[in-house]
Amino acid sequence: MDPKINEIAASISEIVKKLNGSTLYSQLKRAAQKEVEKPTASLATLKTDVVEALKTSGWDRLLRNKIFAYLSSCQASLDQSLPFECQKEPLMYMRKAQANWERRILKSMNSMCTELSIPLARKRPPEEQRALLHKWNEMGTEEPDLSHFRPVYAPKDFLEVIISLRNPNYCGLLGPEVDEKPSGGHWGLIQVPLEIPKLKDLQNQFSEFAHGHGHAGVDDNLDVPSEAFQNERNKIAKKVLDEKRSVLAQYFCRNGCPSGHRAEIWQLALGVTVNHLDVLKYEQLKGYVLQHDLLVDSLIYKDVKLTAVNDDYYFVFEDYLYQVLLVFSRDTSVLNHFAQSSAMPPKSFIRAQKEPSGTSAEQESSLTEAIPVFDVDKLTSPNQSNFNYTLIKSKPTFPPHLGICDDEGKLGQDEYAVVYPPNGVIPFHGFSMYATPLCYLYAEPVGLYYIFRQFYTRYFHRLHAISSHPQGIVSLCLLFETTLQSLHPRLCRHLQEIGCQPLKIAFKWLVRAFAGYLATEQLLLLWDRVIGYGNLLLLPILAVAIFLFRQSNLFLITSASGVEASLADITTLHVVPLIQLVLFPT
Amino acid sequence: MSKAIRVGRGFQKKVAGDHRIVRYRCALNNVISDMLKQKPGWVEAKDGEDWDFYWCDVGWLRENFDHIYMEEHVRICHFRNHFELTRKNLMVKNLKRLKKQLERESKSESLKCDFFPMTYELPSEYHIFVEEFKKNPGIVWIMKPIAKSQGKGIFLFRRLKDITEWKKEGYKVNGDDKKEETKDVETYIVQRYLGNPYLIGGKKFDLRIYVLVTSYIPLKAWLYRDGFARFSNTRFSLDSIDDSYVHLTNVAIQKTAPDYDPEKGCKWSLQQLRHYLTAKHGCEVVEKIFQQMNEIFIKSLQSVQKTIINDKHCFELYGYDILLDSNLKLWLLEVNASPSLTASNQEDYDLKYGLLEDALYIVDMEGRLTGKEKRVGNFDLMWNDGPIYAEDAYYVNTGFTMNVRTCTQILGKFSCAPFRRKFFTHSHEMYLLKLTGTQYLQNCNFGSIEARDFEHLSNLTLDSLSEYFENISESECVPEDFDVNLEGGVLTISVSKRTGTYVINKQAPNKQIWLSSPISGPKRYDFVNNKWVYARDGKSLHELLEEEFSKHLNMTIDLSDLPYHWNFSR
Repeated sequence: MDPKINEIAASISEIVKKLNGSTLYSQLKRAAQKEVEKPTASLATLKTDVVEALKTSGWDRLLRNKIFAYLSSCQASLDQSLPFECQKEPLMYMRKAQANWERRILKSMNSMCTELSIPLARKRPPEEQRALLHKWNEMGTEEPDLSHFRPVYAPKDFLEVIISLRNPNYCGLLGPEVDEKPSGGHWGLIQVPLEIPKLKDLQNQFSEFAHGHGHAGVDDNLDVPSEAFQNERNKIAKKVLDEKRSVLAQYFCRNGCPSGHRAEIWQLALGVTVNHLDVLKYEQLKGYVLQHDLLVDSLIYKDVKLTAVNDDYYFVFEDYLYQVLLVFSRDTSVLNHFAQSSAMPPKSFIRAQKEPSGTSAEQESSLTEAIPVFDVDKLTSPNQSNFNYTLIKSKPTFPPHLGICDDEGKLGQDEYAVVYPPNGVIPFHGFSMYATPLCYLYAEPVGLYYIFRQFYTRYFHRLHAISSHPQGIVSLCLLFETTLQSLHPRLCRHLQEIGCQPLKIAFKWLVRAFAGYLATEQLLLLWDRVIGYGNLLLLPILAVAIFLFRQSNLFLITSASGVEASLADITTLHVVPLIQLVLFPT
Repeated sequence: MSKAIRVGRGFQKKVAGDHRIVRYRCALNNVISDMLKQKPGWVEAKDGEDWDFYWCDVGWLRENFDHIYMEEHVRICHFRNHFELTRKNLMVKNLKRLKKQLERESKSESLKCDFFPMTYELPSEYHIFVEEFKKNPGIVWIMKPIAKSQGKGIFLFRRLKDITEWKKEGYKVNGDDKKEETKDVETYIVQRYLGNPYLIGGKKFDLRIYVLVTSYIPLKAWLYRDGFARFSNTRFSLDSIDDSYVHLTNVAIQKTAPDYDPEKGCKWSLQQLRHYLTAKHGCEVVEKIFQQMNEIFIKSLQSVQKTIINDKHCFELYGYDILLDSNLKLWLLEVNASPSLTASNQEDYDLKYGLLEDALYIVDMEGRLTGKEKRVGNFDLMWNDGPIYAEDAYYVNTGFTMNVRTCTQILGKFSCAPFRRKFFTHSHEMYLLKLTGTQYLQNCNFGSIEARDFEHLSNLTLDSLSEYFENISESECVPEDFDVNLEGGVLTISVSKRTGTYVINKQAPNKQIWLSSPISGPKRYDFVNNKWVYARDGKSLHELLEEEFSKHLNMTIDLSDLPYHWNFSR
């Protein structure tokens, strides 16, 4: 039998399984029941009638959108017979590197805890909870002393790790020992052989960038008679929104959204809806933030202060960022994305005194509902002499069941192990920039939160995990280096001669998906395309374009620091024409 | 004080090529005095000495204006009855009058005056106010003393009781201490408080825009591009109306908030605001907002046009405070005659310094302008006895695209398919210039590249030129006293004693490079089309240097390897 069919069958059954427990399922069921109860219903045509009715009443579209969202969030499920860890990441050396990296992060967190003698989590006393609730809308006015905290890691540290990646089975033409020298192997910093798309593949994939296609970001500029173009796009945007079809919205994004409609189009394309249940969920998560004070909260505070608050454009959104990022850290539904990622959420142990709280959590059927992740007041209190604030690396198990852990957990009883932080994501320096640009589109925290969560779990989590995934940061870096080398070897050589590796400059752009580096409207135009094509490949393309575009300056520069300085400010660049420059040069 | 004092005698006649000396006085001790001190050719007049220019305070004006006789060229920074627009009660009175007047002519025109909230003067209009108050229960009102600025003495209330107490207190203080002053009880205005401001990041903000009026008859007004939005430090909600920090966005008040951090600043430039609003609502909506804003400036100035005593010696720099509400409608809060010129941080200092520098350029003590300019520095002429259209002045890339439509029409003639795919290195204006030729440049003083770009471009240009000339100074045909020096953005090349010295410097406010050549005189270069071009003759900086230096040094000077050379290829 065709293996393709098997694959499709597998993903269909997967989606059906997922749908079964969802709210949409019960809603559909209810709608169908209502149809049946109608006096006009006749037994003979019951099935077609009901289906028809669901179609006309719009349920059909909702179902399609939901399925589309599932399809785009869980791409290509690998062979189910493989061990789970191999499904996450097929290459062993990548797995090992990621595991080592995670261990390093945890070690750094643990030592921060010890140094500062603060617990990973503590329950807030009631007065403090009330005070925080009161301040919820203006958390930026509070200035906690964060001088002792430092970001767990910065993109620079992460780059070091990626550079040191080697494939043990791979051997250069001149033998393995030559591989270490810059002359052997690749010219660039990335030394692992991964398959990356060639320019031709990219041209096919991003064919909309070719000449003859109207683009927001080029054709809506003020100096070209653009009204016709803009009116046209606005009209189509309205149509797309009326249709309420995610697929259309996503496709529409490829040519850029007109700014007035971007917020809604993105929601539609990413399948994000905010109904009263979502608002409730947000409020619930907010409740968890109020109940417990986590160490990651301080890290988030610190990061927002270091990045957004320091930015002339973004400081205004400080409060919103806390309201999004703190809530995000409590959201266990984020854990689902680890199924597609090579990363593992770290775990911590609850220090139990009486009946372990873990058991009750374990009994919860669905992971997303299993909230009281830790009754942490039992876990640690600063006056206990030997409080337990150690994070350990969890072995790849999925879903990461609360309370179940392997023998590695010698620090505490397994059943008390919990994911820490509840969403499994440890913020690094610049993390908050993933959310910041979205503040330009969504004027209230709840909508902002859900769009951010979707962005993160679909795309951005790949930007800080070591994997062989074609969208993973390693592949993106390699794509950047290879493309730049093949398009302009002379420039690469010049840069190399003056001791400058282009990736060292471009890496920070890639890790943050350019957030905070480009002017906001340009960034939004770029992210339009990220949504539109459902991938991150345009990030390295743009990075290449920037180097090519500034080449005349770069050739004049004779020091690595000079290169850095000349590329320090890229806020004046226009994204779309630059990408065209690389993909379809004239 | 019966004798009129003559002011401004003995002002030097303009000598060709030389600046005349301007004697100035300055009553304030902040950015303005710094700026005046650094103006070349300006000297401070000591007490009792004669002067040509006075940045006075309003108190001085009141006492002295009627007793002095000013020579033709003398300028001071206020009109005699400036308060007609800047006192809150008078402003409202004038606007109400204009509205009535316009109502007689056309309904639609008078609707354009609907940009100030319901306002009454206290105590004189107390009874009308109480009536209005009772008609609208529950809304919040704001009390402002009429003659105070920077947020002093302002409070909010919801119940009439609050204000009656205030009234009693006010009378008591005056009544007990100085009985004769009872009728002088401080005048307040009470205004409907705008309870639905537009919020960004949950924060309230208002806009501060600067407008320079150089004449009321005919009305001639200039608009400054770099206005800004001031954010209130905390999140907005009407629940806590005692918290005046939330409600007043004046920097002066915000400064006393306990967590105020001057370095952080609480401002967005108008450009930033424009980007934000465009990202959220699209271009057309933003266009409308900025049109409304222009309407506010013009209508408010027209409302006092006949009242203000016009005087050619006077000019006035107004600071407009404007609020945007959640329906995207703008409201005029107040107009300040002496906008706070004390800077809160470096960025603010730079902004105000630039503002004053440009304003004084327009006031033109030196007689440099022709009177036909449509743009000087960051000021755009917006009204000159009638609206200024885009055919005359091009407004793109500022907070004010008054007439983008017209621009596009002009462009329609020029643009064609091959241009559409161009990669925009610099701002769109450059692009327009390329298309419409240099005629444009003669009309307006362009400064179109972004400030950061300008820094980058000009530095690179000057650095590369200096390096080039350093290098050739070692060659044999170069005279011995040939000297090249680059310091603080000024490149001087002295060729020889006989020939003289070239000075090339960057002019950040105008985003130009200025050249003074001993042979061909002064020239100003704009960055157009990836090179520096002098608008009058269309020649590039590098071209001119090549030509003149080849003659001086008797050798071929070829600058074509330098960046931004006229045929420097990318």
